[in-house]
Amino acid sequence: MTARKHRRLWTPAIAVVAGSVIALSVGISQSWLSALISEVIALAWAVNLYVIGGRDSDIGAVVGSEGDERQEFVKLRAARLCMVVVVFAIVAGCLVAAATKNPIWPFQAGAVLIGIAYFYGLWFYGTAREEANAAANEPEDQRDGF
Amino acid sequence: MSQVEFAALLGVSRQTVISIESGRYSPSLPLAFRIARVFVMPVEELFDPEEEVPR
Repeated sequence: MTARKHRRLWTPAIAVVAGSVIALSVGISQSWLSALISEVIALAWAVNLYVIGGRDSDIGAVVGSEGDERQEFVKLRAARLCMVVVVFAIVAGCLVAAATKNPIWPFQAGAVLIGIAYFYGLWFYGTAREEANAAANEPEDQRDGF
Repeated sequence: MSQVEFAALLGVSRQTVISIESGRYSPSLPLAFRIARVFVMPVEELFDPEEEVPR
């Protein structure tokens, strides 16, 4: 099997790992029968993702980790939409938890993590590092000018 | 040349070729130059920098 074919396995593998962690949590907190059902659902979803990843479409290319530049852009926009939904879900979860007198710290922690990740992303993918390097290498009398 | 052959030549998907043809996607500079090389034409004759791409 070539490395190219392995790439199609990445997304299903992530789904299996995430699903197994959720199933384990369900098993510990509720029942092992529920955990087994969760695991079966996660495995079925992973198989579904593998099948989708082989399709000749934008979704197939993105799920199969084979996207070209436009499909990567589509993936970014989809990820942005997904993040907006996650933020709304966190706010709604926070409200529901507060209304039902349950702890809200998991939602707060999620919100803090998202905020940190967002600003880290702006720094990491922006030009801040290059600007800092350029400023460090530049003689002081040449700064703020051409 | 079919869209599939053209896409394979450029190293992109068939869907991306369709998007570029319909004007819904502006390719990156490297891809634009690859397209120009295939058609043996200057890149500015293939793409209009003033053209607005719908978001």
